[in-house]
Amino acid sequence: MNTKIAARSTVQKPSSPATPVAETIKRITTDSSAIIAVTTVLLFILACIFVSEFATVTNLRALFLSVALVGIAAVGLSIITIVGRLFALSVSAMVAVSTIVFASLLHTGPWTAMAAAVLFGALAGAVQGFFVGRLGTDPIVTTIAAAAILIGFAQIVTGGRNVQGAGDASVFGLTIFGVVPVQVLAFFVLTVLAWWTHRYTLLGRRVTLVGLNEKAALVSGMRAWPVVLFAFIASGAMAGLAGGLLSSESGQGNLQLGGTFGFDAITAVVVGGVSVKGGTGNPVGAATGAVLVGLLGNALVLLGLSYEVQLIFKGVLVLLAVVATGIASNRQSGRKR
Amino acid sequence: MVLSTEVLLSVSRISKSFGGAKALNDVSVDFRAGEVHALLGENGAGKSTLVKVIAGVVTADTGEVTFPGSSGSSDVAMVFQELSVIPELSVRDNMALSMRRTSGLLVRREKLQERMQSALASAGLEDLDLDMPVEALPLAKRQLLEIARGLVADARTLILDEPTATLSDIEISRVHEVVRSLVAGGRSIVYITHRMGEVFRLADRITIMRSGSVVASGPTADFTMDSVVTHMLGEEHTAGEAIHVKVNFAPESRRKLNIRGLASGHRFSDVSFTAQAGEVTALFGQIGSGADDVVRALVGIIPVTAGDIHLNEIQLSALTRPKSQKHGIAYVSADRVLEGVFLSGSVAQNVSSGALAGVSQLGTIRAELETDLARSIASKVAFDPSRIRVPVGSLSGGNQQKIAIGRALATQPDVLVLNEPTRGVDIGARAEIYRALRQLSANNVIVIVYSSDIVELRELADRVITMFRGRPVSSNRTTDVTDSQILTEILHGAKA
Repeated sequence: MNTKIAARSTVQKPSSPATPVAETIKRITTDSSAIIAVTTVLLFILACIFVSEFATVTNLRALFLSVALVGIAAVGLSIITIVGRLFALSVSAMVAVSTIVFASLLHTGPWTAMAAAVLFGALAGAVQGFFVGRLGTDPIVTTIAAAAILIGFAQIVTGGRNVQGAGDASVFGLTIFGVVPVQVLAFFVLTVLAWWTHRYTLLGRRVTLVGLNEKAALVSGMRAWPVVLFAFIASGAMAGLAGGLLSSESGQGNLQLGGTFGFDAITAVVVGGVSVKGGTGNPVGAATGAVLVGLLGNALVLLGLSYEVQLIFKGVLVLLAVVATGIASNRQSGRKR
Repeated sequence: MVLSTEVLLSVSRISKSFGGAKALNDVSVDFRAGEVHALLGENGAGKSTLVKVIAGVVTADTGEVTFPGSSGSSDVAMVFQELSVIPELSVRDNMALSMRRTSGLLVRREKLQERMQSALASAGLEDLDLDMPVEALPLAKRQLLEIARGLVADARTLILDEPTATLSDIEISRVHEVVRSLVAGGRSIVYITHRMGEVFRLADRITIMRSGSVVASGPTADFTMDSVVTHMLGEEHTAGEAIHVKVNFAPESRRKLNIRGLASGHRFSDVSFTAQAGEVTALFGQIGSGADDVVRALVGIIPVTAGDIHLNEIQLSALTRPKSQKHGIAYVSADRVLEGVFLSGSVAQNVSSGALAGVSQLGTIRAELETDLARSIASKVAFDPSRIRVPVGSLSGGNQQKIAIGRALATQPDVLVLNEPTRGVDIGARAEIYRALRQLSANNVIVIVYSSDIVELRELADRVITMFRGRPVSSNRTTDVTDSQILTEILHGAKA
């Protein structure tokens, strides 16, 4: 029933006064990332009203700082999900090894160290992307294996010890205009860039089409594997950046760092309304998802709830998101549930 | 042969509509014990809908299916044309899948084994190792295993849907032997086939359907090969005519596709023909004839192992799908949902998907170019241009197919290859699609189709190449051949 009404409203002439409202309502109920944005804003307002000490500059800055790095990794991961390759389970490992890369090269200067971390991530992503895209291996299994190999090598090289960076990484600890930390700015800029690429560029469209239906893409002559490769490279580079920024906070590289990034990034992607079936959803959704999860965690802490309770909330949130995404994408394609 | 009178399965006054189209119209047939009852008809005549109603997969609008002399619908087993055995599982496991109706929680292993063995024996597979994986069996034995699966469910009526479509002559005779022994044991066999020869060798009774109705039914002795074909096509059958379109290009610029000695593994060989713009070329053959593989090889989906392809005097070699697309060969797949369209994408996104370079500048997609393209393509395929923002998944099958074709047109192809261009498309949309394709060919595009539907052939094609068992039989202008000649060629090969 919903489908029919919605479909008819799109046929109406744009001059009809009822249409813009109907169109907007339709777009919000069918676009899962819009649902998530609305939910996030509502939650934010609720937290401002009901949680004391939430709406303070200090707390909000801490909140966004905690969200920024996971958010960067999540935006990267969302590209893999959109291209229809589920998730990379190597995000944590890539972040962790990137902290080592950054710390070990910090003596050559913060910018070269950061570039090296990003490059490392891109390379690690490229290898996994080659396997998944060109050789058609399963993304989950491939990235689990990649994670093991990465951590194994890094253990050998570091001897399992902390790597103390010899240099000054304070450039990444600045706050712009005295309020916005560099990491938050990077998160914001990358999200906008990913959104623009996804929505307006040829590359973004190819990612969407391959994610929607790889076989149909091939029928019109589009190869899937270069697109998959790109997704893994972009995702890897962003994990590398997240690792570099993480390391710059303490000037140290440690394989224990970033251990929760993998699960948190997946949570953000799923909560952000990116369909695991591929093709639907966008990187902004993943970014919003990261903020939503962080927001929830922050509010729960301020309310005095324990870590365990937070974990349960996170899990429930993921399940709710999966259900909601399924419903929204069914509605969008006009199929009956 | 003695015709028994005990009716095992009775279909009376069944009607069924899908949407507006009547698939079955007041159909009544009795199927008797001890008989092979052939169910004949063209594609779309309603045979498969009828058997689906009998098997309970589809519910009839009116009328009923009864089983005189037995308790319930479990008395019918269906053996599908597409093999439904699971290749990775053993013979035993595949058989067990069909035995879910066994009552009680626990089943004695020996008893199970016994039933399987006896079913296999009845299907002519007594020497089969139960632990063998099904994928190790040759095709004919898999088909017999399908039959055994029907038998193990202990059904007295067995519906066989084209059991021999993909089999060789020796294998066919084996299936026939089994069918004979089954009816001798008092079972009733409903036999659907397109092979005219086996009808007269095997069937005791024939029922012919056309456009959802039974047009003739009676003992085999009452029919001849010619009368069966006449009934299938209809006495009043005036062959649909391809509409004439005026050629819209200079004769010297006419595009030509030359195919010489093309082969692809064991799928087909020795295929040679020239297709040119200004006419629609059709490859016509049954499933398994290799005719559909020819079009898939042309577009680079399956490999070409011998022969060569020249497009406008330029040789095309080592074709892959992306490569053939670069050479200007566009493809419309037979499987609309899996390969044809992006269901969740909008019409505009679907149309532009093959022509992204044309709607973008400096790597950025220009929305207005995309909209323009979608509008212009929509009008070419008779699709409502105001609906280009709608997701394709919400459209009807006919409209989805128009978009699938539009997607190929957007690439501005020199050659458009279509595999079953109107499968599952209603009659109105068909006519529009035929018109669009013929218009295209008049605009200097080479149009090549694979079809298994003779009505389509008549309304769409100018030239027909018939194929039988991987080899071409003949190539004719469609106006120069009769339906019965075409059907004979795809069912039996060249006239001896």
